[in-house]
Amino acid sequence: MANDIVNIRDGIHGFISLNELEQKIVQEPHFQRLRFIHQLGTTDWVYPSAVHSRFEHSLGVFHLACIVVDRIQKYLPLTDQDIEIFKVACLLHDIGHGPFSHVLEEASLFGAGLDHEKMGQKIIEKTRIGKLVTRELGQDSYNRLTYIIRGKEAVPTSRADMVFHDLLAGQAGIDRMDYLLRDSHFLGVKYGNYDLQRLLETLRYNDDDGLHWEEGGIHALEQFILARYFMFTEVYFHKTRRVLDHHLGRLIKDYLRSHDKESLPSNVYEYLKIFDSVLLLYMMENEEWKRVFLSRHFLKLKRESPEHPEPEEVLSWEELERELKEKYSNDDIFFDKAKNDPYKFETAEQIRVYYDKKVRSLTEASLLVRSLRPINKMRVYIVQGKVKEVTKFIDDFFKNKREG
Amino acid sequence: MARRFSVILELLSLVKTKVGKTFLQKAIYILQDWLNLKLGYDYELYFYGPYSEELSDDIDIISDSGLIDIGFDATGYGYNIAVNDKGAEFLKKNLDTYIVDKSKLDKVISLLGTSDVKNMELLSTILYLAKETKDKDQTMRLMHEIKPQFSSEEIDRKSEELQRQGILVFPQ
Repeated sequence: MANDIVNIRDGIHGFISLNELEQKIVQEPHFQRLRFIHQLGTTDWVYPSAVHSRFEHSLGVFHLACIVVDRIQKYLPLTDQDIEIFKVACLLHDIGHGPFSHVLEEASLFGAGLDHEKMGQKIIEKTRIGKLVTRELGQDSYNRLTYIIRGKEAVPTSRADMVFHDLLAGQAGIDRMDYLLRDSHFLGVKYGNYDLQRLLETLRYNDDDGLHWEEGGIHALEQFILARYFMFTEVYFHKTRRVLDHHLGRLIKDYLRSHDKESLPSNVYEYLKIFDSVLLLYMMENEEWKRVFLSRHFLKLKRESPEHPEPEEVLSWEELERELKEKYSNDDIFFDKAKNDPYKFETAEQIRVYYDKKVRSLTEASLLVRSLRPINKMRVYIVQGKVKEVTKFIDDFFKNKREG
Repeated sequence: MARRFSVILELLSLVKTKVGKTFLQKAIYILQDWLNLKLGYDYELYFYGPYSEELSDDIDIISDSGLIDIGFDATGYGYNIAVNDKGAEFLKKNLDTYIVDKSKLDKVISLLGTSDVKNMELLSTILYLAKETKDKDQTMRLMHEIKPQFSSEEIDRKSEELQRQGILVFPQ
């Protein structure tokens, strides 16, 4: 029997308080499964202490939801049901993640029209979690959760839903607020740190301008954007981390084939049976995969573009990608792009601040943010036995380009 | 990417009025979801209407490559974006194989080219909700709910205008 309020201790935020409904959701086995999904895929093979899971991140985002909703209701009238739906949406926003989080999307392992968010929607709909939520919060809560989490495939029923989506998934939303601090903490780096309290304290809302920050929050937002920038360059787009994700994608494909499948099951209950440990066990039973991961026989990074290539260079690299993929298989090469990284750094177009007598984009208000340039780097990794051959292919390609 | 770059640069070359990022966001949304120009951008409904983060990234990359100039508009409507000489040259030299159906670009420009950001927000949100609900009454009801800053007359007028122009079609 659940108690009225339960407090859970968290390494980032301190105590996180759950009411009865929230406790029931957390106690569901499909929610508990998030304990077995690494937050950052293969990152612990580069930063060994990055072993945190989607479970604690979900609780962290939920906790921040409680704080921001408390602030926002000073400016936007909300019902108790609105507030609870938002908190539950935040708790469940990552429920659809499969093994090793984003690796699945990147390796195109989902069936047609599916991704982790769509699977999350299906998990909420088909399992007891959905029943719990609709029983307590009404029949339309399922659609509201879908819109708040995804911003699509359902429509907002009120202005509050739109604000909630922005609060959760916006460019300075609480999903990002939590994972930057959490990832930094568990990796043992300082790049993702910023002044969370100041960011929360300066959050504002009005009907004309929507969610925005008061002028006093601009420096905290700048810190936040820099944190994203550094975490991207130093962690998320780390050259070894990226190739490990590639290998893991290959491993999962191999695992699925050994079970006569070409993609992850679309059936919710079959999908939920595959989590990180299942694949790690498969790795340990397979000599080839043991060699790749345990003996660290990764593809080697042999060529990369500048971080800010000229437009002609971008077109050439795209052509190179097409030609390499025609000639070589995914076992031989991995062509990576910063643009494909699920944590890619983006500018602050959608973050709005009150500055110089009106609400405007942070990009406009901050010279520092404006000066950060998008990273458009591309990389080619090559298997050990073909380094010479593929390198020559690339050299010839660029030589021909130069000579017209 | 080249096809996307081509559409963005071509749009900016053809438009004769001052436009900003909102114009590009809404124009590409309409081209893609209502005029069947396949570009693969994923759109969500945000506070100011449909928005694609991927498109925002592409605009930044094109700007960073020096093909467009982005300035801030003194009138308070955010940005001014224009293709510069380098962008025009690049479009002519490298992207002509990707040239898209100009009539679609003209159509979206005549729809949005002289709109202010509020009008674009209104118009694109009606289209987004209509696409999702496929129902006129529900679209109108939701518009009144989530966009109270627009009067019923403004919403109805815009919806009728879009239907007259043959862009918005509700299933019978």
